[in-house]
Amino acid sequence: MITIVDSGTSNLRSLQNALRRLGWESEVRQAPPSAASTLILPGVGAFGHAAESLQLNGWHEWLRSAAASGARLVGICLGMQLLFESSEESPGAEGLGILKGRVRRLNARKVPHIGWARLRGVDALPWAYFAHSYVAEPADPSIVSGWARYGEEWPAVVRAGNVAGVQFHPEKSQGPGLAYLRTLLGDGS
Amino acid sequence: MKRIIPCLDVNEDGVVKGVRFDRLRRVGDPVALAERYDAEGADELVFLDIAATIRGRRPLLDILERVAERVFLPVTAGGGVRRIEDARDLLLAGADKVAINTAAVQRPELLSEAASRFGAQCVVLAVDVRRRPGGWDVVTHAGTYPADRDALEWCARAERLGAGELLVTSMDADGTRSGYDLELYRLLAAASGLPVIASGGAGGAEDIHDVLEAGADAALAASIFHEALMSVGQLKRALAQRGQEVRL
Repeated sequence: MITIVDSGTSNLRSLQNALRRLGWESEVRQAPPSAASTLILPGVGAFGHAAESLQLNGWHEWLRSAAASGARLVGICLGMQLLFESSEESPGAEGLGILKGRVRRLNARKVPHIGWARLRGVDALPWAYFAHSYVAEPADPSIVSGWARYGEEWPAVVRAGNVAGVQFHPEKSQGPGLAYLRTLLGDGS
Repeated sequence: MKRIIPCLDVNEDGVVKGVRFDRLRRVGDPVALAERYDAEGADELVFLDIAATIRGRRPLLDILERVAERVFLPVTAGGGVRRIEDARDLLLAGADKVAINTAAVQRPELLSEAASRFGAQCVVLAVDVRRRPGGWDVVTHAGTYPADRDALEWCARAERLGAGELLVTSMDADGTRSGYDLELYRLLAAASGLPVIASGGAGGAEDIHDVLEAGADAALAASIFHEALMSVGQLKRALAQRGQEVRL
């Protein structure tokens, strides 16, 4: 069972469909469950709105301690950004801070970046679909394991032990995206 | 990376296509077509409920739900989106982006409200335009009602209001397969800080190459795919041979 953290975003159906296609059951939770071993933090929309929604529902402490005690946690798109401490998009809003660093605006002529980009450093997934205006800037660059380019090069994948974040949408990146999501979540979940 | 986007105009009969927004005829089943374009390498799909401004929206929601179970591609949906709740319904049914057209002209704040609720990347301003001497006019209500508004000015305002993408259809070229209105997209792409999706007039790879060269970030096409004049894959290979950066 995979727990999907609802940070107030609308389209969780695609993610659930993707997980079902991979053969996994999932459960959308507005508030923390008593226990969970595999969690996905999806998200579209504004950092501040989502961070506030998570905080109101008691997720901040819960996710920090779940990550610290070894639960697998995958952030997708805004969910990846929420793993960090703060974002230029919503000054003052508190991210989860599970990963150190901040989120800043993408430096490109046309923002948002919407479309497919080639990934560097991710052998299993040559292309991925993105829809975002901000990118993560980890304090520790060694957690970045995949990059993409639009206007400039920025982190597309971060991994730190049991915690991972992807700036793209694996659930919208066709078959290879779903296969990548499977490896992120671990075959055993 | 430039995008190729098949557009599926739907009503109660399924996917339909006309010429200059008129003479509609049925071209296929929406879910079957979506699966075909997915397999052929489409970068996104757009579903527009062309009857929804006049009638209900339920057929589109059903289609989106069924497509989302089978197709793992970004989907934009629109047609008759008047309120935030309409946008939310489409997103919950499986859309990733919502196209807003007539209602944004009537009440521009809808764009800001949608952007703050769902994020700018979720909000596509759809505009149908018709040429006039010295520019282009916005036409609303599925191409039936001239809005007395300059298209380029409206796009610039929509950007300030929070739209994340522009889907601009040339009514003069729609369904004619005689090429895109290149001047329109050249001016738009130069003026706007948003991605621009060009729509209306695609007859073949050369037309699509030209509009991407003119500055469009994505090309929308319907007739050439529905009638299988060319598969999405064939088109993208032809574009790559002409030097376009596309996902193959």
